[in-house]
Order: sequence, then C-alpha cells, then structure tokens
Amino acid sequence: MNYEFSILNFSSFNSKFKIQNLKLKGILFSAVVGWITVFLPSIGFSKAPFVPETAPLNIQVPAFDVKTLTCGIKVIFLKSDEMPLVSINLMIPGGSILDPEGQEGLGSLMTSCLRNGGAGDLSPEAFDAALENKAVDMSASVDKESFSAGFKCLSRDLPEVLPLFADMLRRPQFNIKRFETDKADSIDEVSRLEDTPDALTRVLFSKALLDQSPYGHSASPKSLSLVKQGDVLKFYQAHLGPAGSVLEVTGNVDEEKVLAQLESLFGDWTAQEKLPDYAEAKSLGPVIYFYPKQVSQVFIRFGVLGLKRHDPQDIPLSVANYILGGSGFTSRLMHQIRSDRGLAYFVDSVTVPFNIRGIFEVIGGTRPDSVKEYLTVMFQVLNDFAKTGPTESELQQAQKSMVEEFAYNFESPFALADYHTSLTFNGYPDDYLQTYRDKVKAVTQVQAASAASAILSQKDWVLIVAGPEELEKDLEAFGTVHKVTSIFDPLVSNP
Amino acid sequence: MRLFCKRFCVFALIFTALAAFSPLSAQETTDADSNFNLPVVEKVLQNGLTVLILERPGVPVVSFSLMQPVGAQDAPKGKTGLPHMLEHMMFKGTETVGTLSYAKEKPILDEMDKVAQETNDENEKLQPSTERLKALADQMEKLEQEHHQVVVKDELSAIYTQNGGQSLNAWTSQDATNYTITLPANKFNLYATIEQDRLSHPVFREFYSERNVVAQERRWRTESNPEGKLSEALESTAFSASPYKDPAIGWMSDIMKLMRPDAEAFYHQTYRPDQGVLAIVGGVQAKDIIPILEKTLGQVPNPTVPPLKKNWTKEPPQEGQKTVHVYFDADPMVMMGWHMPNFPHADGLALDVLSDILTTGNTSRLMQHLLFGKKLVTSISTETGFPGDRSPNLFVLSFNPAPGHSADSIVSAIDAEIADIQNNGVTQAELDRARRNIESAFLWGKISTSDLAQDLAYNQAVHGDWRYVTRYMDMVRALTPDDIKKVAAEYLTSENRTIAYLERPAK
Repeated sequence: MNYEFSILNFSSFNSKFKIQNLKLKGILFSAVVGWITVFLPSIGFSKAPFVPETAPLNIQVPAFDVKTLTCGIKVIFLKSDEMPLVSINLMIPGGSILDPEGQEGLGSLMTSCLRNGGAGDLSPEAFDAALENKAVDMSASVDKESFSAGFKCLSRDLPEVLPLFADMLRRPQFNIKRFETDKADSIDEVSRLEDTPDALTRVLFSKALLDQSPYGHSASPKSLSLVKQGDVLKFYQAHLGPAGSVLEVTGNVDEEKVLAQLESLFGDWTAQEKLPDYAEAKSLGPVIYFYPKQVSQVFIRFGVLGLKRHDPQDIPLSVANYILGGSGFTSRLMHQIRSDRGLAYFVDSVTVPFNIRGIFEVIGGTRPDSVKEYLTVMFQVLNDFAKTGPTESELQQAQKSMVEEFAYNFESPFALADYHTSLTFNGYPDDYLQTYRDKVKAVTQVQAASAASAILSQKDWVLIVAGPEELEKDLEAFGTVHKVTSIFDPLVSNP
Repeated sequence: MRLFCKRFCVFALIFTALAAFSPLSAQETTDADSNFNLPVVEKVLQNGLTVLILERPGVPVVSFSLMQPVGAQDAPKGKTGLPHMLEHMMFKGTETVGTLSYAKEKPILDEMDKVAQETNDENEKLQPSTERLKALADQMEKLEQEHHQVVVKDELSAIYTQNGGQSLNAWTSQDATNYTITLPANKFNLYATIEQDRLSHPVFREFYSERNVVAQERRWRTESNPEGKLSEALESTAFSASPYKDPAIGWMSDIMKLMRPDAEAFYHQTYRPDQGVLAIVGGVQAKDIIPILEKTLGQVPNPTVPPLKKNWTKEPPQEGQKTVHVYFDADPMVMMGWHMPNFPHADGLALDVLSDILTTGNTSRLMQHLLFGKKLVTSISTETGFPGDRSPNLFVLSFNPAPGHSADSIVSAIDAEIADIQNNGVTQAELDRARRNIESAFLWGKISTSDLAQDLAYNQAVHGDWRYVTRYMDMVRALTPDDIKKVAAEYLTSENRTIAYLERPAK
C-alpha cells in the first residue's frame, strides 16, 4: 500500500546487484586508513565542507564450495554460522519460454500447483500444515528462462524440511481442487494486468519487442482457461529435472550431512527433456502502441533489442547504461527529464540479457499534457548518447561509482550466494566476482560509446504508451501509432 | 509503514549474542528472553542528537538512518504534503553544494518566492486574471532560466553516488521522515561531513519545479493506481477528525501552492537535532566514530524558534459503518478498515496476531475457508497500523473478489468468520503458529544493515525507545487466546468499520 512517499522510486531501478540481508562471516576485508581530503566547491555563504576520506576497501570474495550430485545437480555451499538459519534455492533451466502455444501461463500455473497441490503422502492441507507449523517459507516460481524452488528455515529443522522439498519437486500431487483454485486465481491475476498502466505496458512491450518468440509471449485469461490438470502434470514431467540445475545452500549447515541427504533425496532424479534452441526474436518496430486508459499519469516504455548473455559488450553497455539512465538522480535521463523540467517522477533505463538477444528499455511516466515534451527530450537524450556516448568525465565518475558500489554485494551471505548462484546458473565464469571491478575500470570511452551506439542506433524501436484517449494525436508526431484495445489480442504490425 | 514490520526487523541480531536461541516454542525461548539485547551503543551528542550505533564487524558497508519524528500529520492546515515536499528539498544541496554561487543565487530564489506568492494570491481571487497568471508564469520561467546558470544539478546525490552510496533515499510517512544511505564502511567521514552541511546550511533551490515532480508522483502512485486510489479513499473516509484523514503526499491543490518560505519555517520548527535520531549499523566502531560525530553532526545548531507543538485532533469514536465507492477502470477490489489503538497498546499487539491468524499462509483462516474453500476471493490480506502508528489507526482487510461473487456476499462471509472468532475464540495451536510466523519474520524479514538502522531509528524517534525492537516479541508472547477473542469482539464490529469499494465505472 502506498502510504509512504519517497524521494525516489528505487524499486524501479533494476540494480544488477540485489542485496537482502545478514552479516557475512568468512569474508575477509581490510581497510587501510589513509586521510585524503576532498574539497567541495566553496564560493558561498558558508564554508565548504572538507571531506576526509579513507582508502578503498580490499574486499575478498569467499570460496564457495561446489559439489555435484549423481543426478547432475550442481550444489553451491556458502557456510555462515552466525545465525541458526538456512536458505535453499534450486534453479532449473526452462521457464515460461517453454509454455506451449495457446497455453501461455502454463509454467507459472504449474509452479503454483507444485507448491499448493500436496506432495508425497501429504494432502495439500497436510503439506501446508507441515511447513507452516514450522514457519517454513517454501515456494516455487517461474521466470522467462528458469524455474525456481526454495525455502528458508531454521537450521535445526533442515533435516525434516528437505524431504518435504524433495517431495514437492519429485512427487507433487497436483490435487484437482487446488488446481482449480490456482487456475482461477491465475486467470484473475492475469486479467488484472490491464488495471494499471505499468503492468499493461510491460506486457505490450514484451510482445512488441520480442515478436514471434516464446520470449515475448504472455498469458491471457483465454490461454489459462484452456489448461487442464493433465497439462500441468505433463508439463511438469517434461521440464522439471536435474539437468543444468544449480542448488544453493547458504547458512548454518553441516555440509557433509546436507550433501549426503541431498544425494539420497535427489541422486536418482532423472534428467528432464532437453531444451530447444530458440531463434532470435524480432522487433515489430519502429512502431508505437497506444493503449487508451483514463489515468492522470501516462506510462511510457521505449526499447530496442539488447544483448545476448555473455556478449563481450555486456560490461561496456552496463557502464554506458549507468550513465544514461541506470544510476538514479545522476543519470542523463533523470537530469534532463526530472531535474531540469519536472516532467517525471522517475525515468530510468535497464539492460537485460537473455540466452537470445535481450532487451534495452527506458521506463518513465508523465502527465498527459507533457507527453510530447517528455518524448522529445527522451529521444534527444538517446540520440545524443548514441552519437557521442559518455564524456570522459561521466565515464570516470560512473566507473568510480560502480566499483565502490561493489561492496554492497557483501552485506549478507544469503544475498551474495543468490547472486553467485545466478551467475553460475547462467554460465558466467567462476571468477566473475573477482574480476568484475577490473573489467569495469578497463572500459574506455570509445568502448562505452560504441556499445551504446550499437544498441541505441537500432531503427526498429518500440514505444508503448498508456494514457488518455486524446494522446493519440500527440503520439503521431513520433511515428506510426497503433491503438490497442486489449493486451491479450495479437498486435497489429506496420504494413 | 506497517507497524508490525517496523518493530520486528532487528531481531536477527539477537543471534549474534544468542546462538543457542530457537524460536520454535515458547517454552524453549523463555530462558533466552532475559538475554534479549542488542549491543547498541547510545550516545547523545552535545546538541541533543541521539545516536544509536550497532557494530557489525566484518561487514564492508555501513547504513545510516536519520529520522525526525515529524510526518505528514504535522502539516499546517491547507498545506498537506509540506513535510513530504520538505523531504524532497533536502536533496537539493546546501550553500556550497549544488551551486556555483549562493550569493548570486539567493536573490533569484527570493524573487521566485514573490512570483509564486503572487500566483497563489491571484488564484485565490474569485475571478483570477488569466493574463496576470500568464505573465507570472512567464516571469517564473525567466527566473528559472536565470537560476539554471548557477545551479549544479543534483550535486549532493552525485557526491554520494561516486563514493559508492546505495539506497540514497528518504521517505515521509504520517509519523516520521527518514533519510537513508548505505556506504562502503570506509566512507563514514564523508557521511558525517556532508550531513553536517546538509542540516546546517540547506538550500531549498528548485522548489517550484520540484512541486511538479511531486505532483507527478501523486498522479503515478495514487491517481493512476487502483490500489492507491482505494487506500486514499479508505483513509479519508475512515478518519473524519484525525490528521490521518489527509494523504501523506498531500492533496493536489495543496501541493501546487506550497511555498518555499513555508518549507523553511517548517524545517526550523521540526528538524531539530535535539529531537532527531541517527542510527548507524555496519562495519564501523563506535569508539572511532563518536569523536567524529561530535565534531560534525554534533555541531549542527538547534533552531532558535520554538519547536512545533504536537496538537493532533483525536478521532472521535465511530458510531456507524461508513462506505465509500471509488470508480476506476479496473477489476473490483475491496478494502475495509476498523479503528484500532496505536502502539504500544496491548490490544494493538493482539490485533497484530489476529491479522496473522486470519491471512498469513495457506493454513490461515481466511485463506483456507474463503480462498481455497469457498473460492470467493482470489487474494486476501490484512495489516495493522494503517496509515501510521503514532495516533489511533486502522486494522485493514483487503480482498479481490473472485469473478461471479459480489463484494457484499464476500463481506458477509468475512463477517461470519469474524463472528466465529468473537464467539469461539482461536485455538492455542493457531496462536502458536502465528507467534512462530512472527518470530520467523524477525529472522528473515528485514535483516540488512539498512533495515536494522531504520528499525532502531524508527522505534527511538516514533515510540521513544529503540528497545521496542526486541521488547515487542516478549509482549507478543504474553498474549493468550482470550486476548485475541477479546480484541476481535471489541474492535472488529460493523459500527467501527469503513468499507471502500473499487468498481469499474458504468460505460
């Protein structure tokens, strides 16, 4: 609920490093204290402050212990004994891209049924009670390219909870009554996507940019209504398994015991179907999709295809994006659109790679009578940046910030392990964390400019706008506008 | 801010001193209770600023929460949203940060105030002159262009960002205003120096363009969001006298006429070091940083003007059910709120537990009966302490009706569930499960350094003692099933309730 009001909507800024909690034991760091004086500008009424600064922190990345179960699951341990807590998270390749055509949303519904439908010998109610009587938070979910399942518990409960986790993953019941409830809830949730400009533009953006690819598909009330209980079971049997999966175990655990138990619970799990290869998505752009909605704040998403995971341009583009729109108040977009003109409460840009080419997106909103000005400024900033990239001074400041921010990853072992696990799952090299800062520092102005230019110069951009009916005319100044009446209908493309 | 969460978050640190503690049963935890202590170092600086330091050796970052016990409910009449606007202004810099020359800038800012005041005056006339308003708008634009030449945009943010600052942010609730940042642990001096300057010499530059940003924020969060609209309607209907009736962000017409001199006056009345709290959690040592704090933040003078006297109107007892209908192009939603006492009233704690029994987890009563059982709703949740917890507030229940079921039929089903608790109470097993959930929330909920810092600061600034962070658990443990039955009967009545319905407008 919205009853706190912040200076900045940080939740909308997709930081590459997400941090949650806890203290990290076993990570060594040392700070050499040296006094450097930074002079701030001093031309005013009061005396400018002097900022004594210490030397950089020397952060060492902990050694993660990696084991492999007989079935092929890679297990990553990060031990932290300060609290009697354990977090377990399993990532399985696949995800919503596996949804069959006409049954979009099946993967997501399957994960709901996995958790809610009972498991092993336990009815749904008994399974819920077994978990909730120990305040165990167990869940399963789906992303575009992965399934996840995990739980958090007290470390002393782990031996009893792990078999429940294995039952959920390997012996789910998919109880028919729970299936019906989960299906109805999913249909309702999806139909509510049209209620807010933020959510409905997100669906349209994905459809428009990642056309003709399962990456761009999204569930509709109709596609979900066609799913039957048997489809959920079939989908589960085909796609959940140990191949390519990574299991993270963090916290207060006896590694050997946990490993032995995991082996007995999962060792004989048979591999799931091999993943298909996916062709690159194609953008429907250059095109504007306009969804008329009577709201006082217009929501605007602009984007082009981004990079494939492991592209050599990944870090140069991250640095460029940080300068363009990824760094909050100090970004170019924020300066020009919010600070200088008061045209938006927030505007930011993100780069998200997939196993095929991902997305580069600029997200923001403004009032209906300033949409034209907002878009003019946004296009101007993007064009300028595509032409000349960042200045040397912007680059240096961004590199300094990104290197300094790195410490933030080490605030908690649980968050660090999540991050490291997702890197491993996505095939990043083992030394990614060790070498990240040097790679950021090595980016040159030419490299950042070239990475930005390659992305921003693409002609097949898409622009998604949700706002009052009368905006349509304003939008026509920027390109061909297609009006959308339902986010669940196929999009009309340019002739 | 959910009251519940606010007091819970720091629990995890208990374990640094109490590794053997297990939150599994009351019996097992009793012995440990007396040992509940956070090794917080408290220091009141020479100007009265209360500093709370929690050392976390080995953590390479340090989080700060600077909290003032002043919030939206302290706004003067006709100036709703002023405390939130002031919060935005605190990011605009100082006499030396964010400007090329404050000497050149100040006359421009003063002139802008005059133009803004004249604009307000013209707008207040029975028949405002459009020509005059246009001339004033042109004048303001000219001044803004002139001002642009001497401003260094967002310099304060840039300094922090370049030094690895994360979560540089602030929020304004009904009860408090909070400024946060997390920095690499070796940047403590930077924080102390910048904040001394920010509190001693703030300059509320770009005030009138920032009003537009806040207006955009209101449109985005409240006016274009079904949940935002519904919760604002609930708040302003349920409360008729309490300042909680006004939204924290302010009403649009108030926002658009806020004045910089009002923000400055309010700042001096309310942002007093001797009433503020600074909580610091992370890889620093109290013995090293206290001398630095004395030389920096300890030097920020207390204003000479008298502090704002809290004089909140008390909400009279509600004597009949209220309803409000909000029309919005979205599927139906319902929120209902019952008046409840604010912290630390014991009944409020019992209602926290009742909230858990009703809707936390698949085994909770309403999830089991209404969602999985009768399939009347597609989601249902409850919370306490809305929209603040310094004054009596609301117990809120929200649900999305399942298609084909009328909101009123679901309200009846909820009434039957509540009546069952009022008549038959809850079981010890339900109470135990709720308590374990609450204990688990202690552990997993918000245990980052920044959440720890905010919890300490919030409890000290709003409730007067950071120790409520840990004391809360003992207070919950003392509750019995009868306490839960009693509060259900006393507070969850129809005459004490307001129901807000979100409906799609007829086409």
